[in-house]
Amino acid sequence: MKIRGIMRVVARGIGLIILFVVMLELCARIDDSLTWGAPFWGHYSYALLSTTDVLGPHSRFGASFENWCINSYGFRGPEITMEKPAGVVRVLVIGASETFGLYESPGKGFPAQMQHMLDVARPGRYQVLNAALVGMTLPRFIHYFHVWLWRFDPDIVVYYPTPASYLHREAPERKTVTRTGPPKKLPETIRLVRKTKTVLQRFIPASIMKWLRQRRIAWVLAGHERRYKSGWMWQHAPAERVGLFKEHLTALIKEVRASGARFVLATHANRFPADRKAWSETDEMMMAGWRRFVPRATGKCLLDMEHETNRVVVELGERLGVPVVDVATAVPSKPENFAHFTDRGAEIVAKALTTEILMLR
Amino acid sequence: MWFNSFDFAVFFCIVLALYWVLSHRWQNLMLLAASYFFYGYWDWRFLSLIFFSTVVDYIAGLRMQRAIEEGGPQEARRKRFWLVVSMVKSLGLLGFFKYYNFFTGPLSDALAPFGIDASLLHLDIVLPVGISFYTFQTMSYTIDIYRGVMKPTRRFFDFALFVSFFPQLVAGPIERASALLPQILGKRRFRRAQFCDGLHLMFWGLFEKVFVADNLARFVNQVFDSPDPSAFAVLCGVWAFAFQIYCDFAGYSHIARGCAKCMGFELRLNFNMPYIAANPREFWARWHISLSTWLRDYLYISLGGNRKGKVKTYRNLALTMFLGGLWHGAAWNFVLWGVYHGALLIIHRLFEPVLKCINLGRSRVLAAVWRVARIIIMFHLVCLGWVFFRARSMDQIYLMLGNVLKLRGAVDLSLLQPLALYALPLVLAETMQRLFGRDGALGTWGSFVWLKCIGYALLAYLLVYYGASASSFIYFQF
Repeated sequence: MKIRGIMRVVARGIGLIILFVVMLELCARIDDSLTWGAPFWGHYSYALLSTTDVLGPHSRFGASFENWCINSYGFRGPEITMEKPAGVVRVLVIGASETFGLYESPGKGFPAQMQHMLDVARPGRYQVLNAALVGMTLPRFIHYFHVWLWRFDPDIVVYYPTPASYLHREAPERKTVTRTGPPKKLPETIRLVRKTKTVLQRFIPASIMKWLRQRRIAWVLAGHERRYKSGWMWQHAPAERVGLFKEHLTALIKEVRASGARFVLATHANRFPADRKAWSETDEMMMAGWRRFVPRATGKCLLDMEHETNRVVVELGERLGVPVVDVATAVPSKPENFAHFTDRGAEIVAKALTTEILMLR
Repeated sequence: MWFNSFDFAVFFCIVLALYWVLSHRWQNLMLLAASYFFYGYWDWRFLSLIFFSTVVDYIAGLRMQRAIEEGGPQEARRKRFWLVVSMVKSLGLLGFFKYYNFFTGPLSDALAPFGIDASLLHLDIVLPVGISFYTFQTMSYTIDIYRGVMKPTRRFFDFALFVSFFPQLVAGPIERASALLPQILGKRRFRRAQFCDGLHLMFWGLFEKVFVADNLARFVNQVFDSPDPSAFAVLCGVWAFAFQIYCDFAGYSHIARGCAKCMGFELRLNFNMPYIAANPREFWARWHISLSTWLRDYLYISLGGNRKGKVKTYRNLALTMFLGGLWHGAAWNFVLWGVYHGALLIIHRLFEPVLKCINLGRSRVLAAVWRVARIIIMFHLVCLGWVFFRARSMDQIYLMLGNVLKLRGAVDLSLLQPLALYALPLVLAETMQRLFGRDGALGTWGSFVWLKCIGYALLAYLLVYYGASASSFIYFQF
C-alpha cells in the first residue's frame, strides 16, 4: 500500500515535470510565431537559411530565421527583380559569415552599410546584392556564380575572402557538391534548447563562462593533438594551401570577368595585434576559440595564413589588374574588429569598399 | 549580491544545503556567518558598522533589563540612559551616513553669500546598503525592552543574527525583535508545505522583479529622461512607475520571505495589494506594512497618536509622514512625497465623516461601483505622489504635471504597450490568486495541481526568456 502511494506520487511528479516542459516548449513556439512569424510546427534553426541543390550549397530562397532574412533570389536583403533596373550599377558582394553579417545588428552588415553609403553618395545609382553564406568556400562560389549569380548581370563583384577555410582538415575542392531531387527535409527541433542556451550565456557570469569555454576549447584541442601524429599540426601557413587559395581566387576572377563584371578584391582583417605581447586575455581566448574550427592550425599558423593570403590578394590584384581594398590595414586590430565584424568594424569595411567602388568608372 | 543574480543563487543553494544538515546551534552560527558574508559582499568595510550597532544594542538591552530587574528609584533613569545611548548610536549612524551632506549642502549654500567657504564640510560618504532597515530593526528592539514589551536575549550570536539575518537585511521587511528573535532562539523544523511556499514566494518575487519591474524600468526611464514628454506619455510613465516600484519592492520582500520560509522562518507580509486601496489610510495598511507599522508604533503613537485632539493628531500624522519620506532618502523629492502623503491622510480624516454619509442603499452593484471609483481615484493620487518620488528635480515635477494639466501633445496608444505586456500579466496572476483564495494560490500544493503547473510554466517562460538583465533593487538605496 505504501509502495503504491510512493509510486503514485512519483508518477504524478514525473507527469508534472513533463507537462511543465511541454508547456515551455509550446510557449517557445508561440513566441517564435508571434515574434518572428516562424511556423508553429517544423524545423526552426540557422539550418533553414541554407540548402544544397543543383546550384550547390547556397542561401535558401525566401528563408528566414529570427532576424536573418533571405529574399526570393537567395540574397540577404530586400526583395529585388532579377532584371537589373535601367541605369543601376549592380554590386554583388560574396563571402562567408563576415559578409553575410552573422553577428552585426540588423541592417548593419557591411554590404547593407555599403548600400546606405552608396545611396548617400549617388542616390538610386547602386544596388548591392549580398550573396554571402555562412561557411561558403571559394570554389563553391565559383560554381554558384557560374550557375546562378551571373544571371543578375552584376557590374561589380566584391569578394571578401575567408583564409581560415583553407586550414580545415580537408582542403576546399573545386568539385562542388550538388543535389538533385526534392530538398532535404529538416527534422523537428526542440525550440527550448537554443533559447535556454542563450539565456544561460546571459545569466552565468562572464568569468565562469570564460572559464567553461577555455576548458572546452582546451579539451577539444587536446583531443585533436592526441588523435593525430606529431607533425600533423601546422606551425606556419602551409604552402600548398596558400597555393590552392591563389589558384581558386584566380579561377573566380576569371569566372567573374567572363561575365563582363568588374572584380574588386579585399584583404582580410582580424582583431589580433601583430605583437603577441600586446594581446589581451580575451584575444587569447578568441584565438583558442578560432582554433576549435581549424584544429590543424596553431594560432601562429592562422595569423601566418592571414598574412600570406593577404599577400596573395595584393599580388594577384597587381598582376591581373584587379583593384584591391586593403581592409586588413583599414580596420585597426581592435577587439571590436574581429573577423566577424561588429557594427563599427563593418562600417569601416563598408567605407573602404564604397570609396573604391565610387572611384571605379 | 542581488537576489536576482547568479551569485546569490549559488550562495543560497550552499547555505540551504548546509542549513538543513546542521544542528540548531550550528544553524544559527552558520546563518550569522552567511549573513556577514552576504553583507560584506558589497563592501566588507561596513561590516564594522553592523557589528558596532549589534554590540551597542546588545549591551543596551541587557543593561535596561538589569535596571528593570534591580528596580529602585534609579530604574527609570538608568533605563532612559541606555535607551538614549542606543538611539544616539542608531540615529547618529543614520544621520551621518545618510543625511550629513543633505544638511551641510544647504548650510554651505547659505553661508556662501557671506563669503564663508563651507565646502570643506562636504564629505564623500558612501551610504552603507540597508542601513535604514537594520537601524530601525535594532531601534525597535531597544524601545520594546524599554517599554517592557519584551526581554532581551543573553545569546550574543543569536542577537547578531537577528540584526543581520540576510534575507531581510538590506531591504526589509523590518522585523520586530518580538517576532523574529523567538524564531531564531527556537528550533526550526523542516515542513514541506512551508518549504514549497517559500519556493513559490521566491519564484513570484523574481517574476515581479525581473519580468515586471525591470522591463517597465526601461519605459519609465525613457519617459522621465525625455526633455518634454506629452501628457499621455507622463500618464503612462507614471502608471508604469507605479507598477515598477511596487514589483521591485514587493518582489524583494517576497524573495526575502521565501528564503526565510525555506529555512523555517516566518517574516511578516510587507505588501498586500496596495493598489486596491480605496483611501490613504488603507493604502498605508497595504504598502510597505513593516515600515508603516513601525512608524505608527514607534513614532506616531510616541508623539501622542490620536489621543490629544484633532489638531495634534493632524500634526502627528504630518510629522510621521514627513519623517517617513525623509527615511526614504536624503533628498527634497522624498520629503515632498512624505508631506504629500501626510496631507492625503489628514484630508481623508477630515472628509471621512462626509464619505461615511454617502448612502448607496442596499444595492451591491452601486457599492461595488463606488468602491471601484474610489480605488481608481486613490490609485491616481498615489501616482501623483510617485511623480514627486521619481522626479530628479522640482523643475521636472513642474514640467510633467504642467504638461498633464495642459493636455500637451497627442495621445499615442502605443505607449500603453509596455503596461499591457508587463503589468497586465501581474495583475491577472495576482487577481487569479486572490479570487481562488489560498487554494488558488500557485504556491499551494492542493487542488488544480495540473492547472497550476501550466501557470508556473507560463510565468517561468516569461521570467526566463523575457526577464530583463540583473539590476539593483530600488529600495537598496534607502
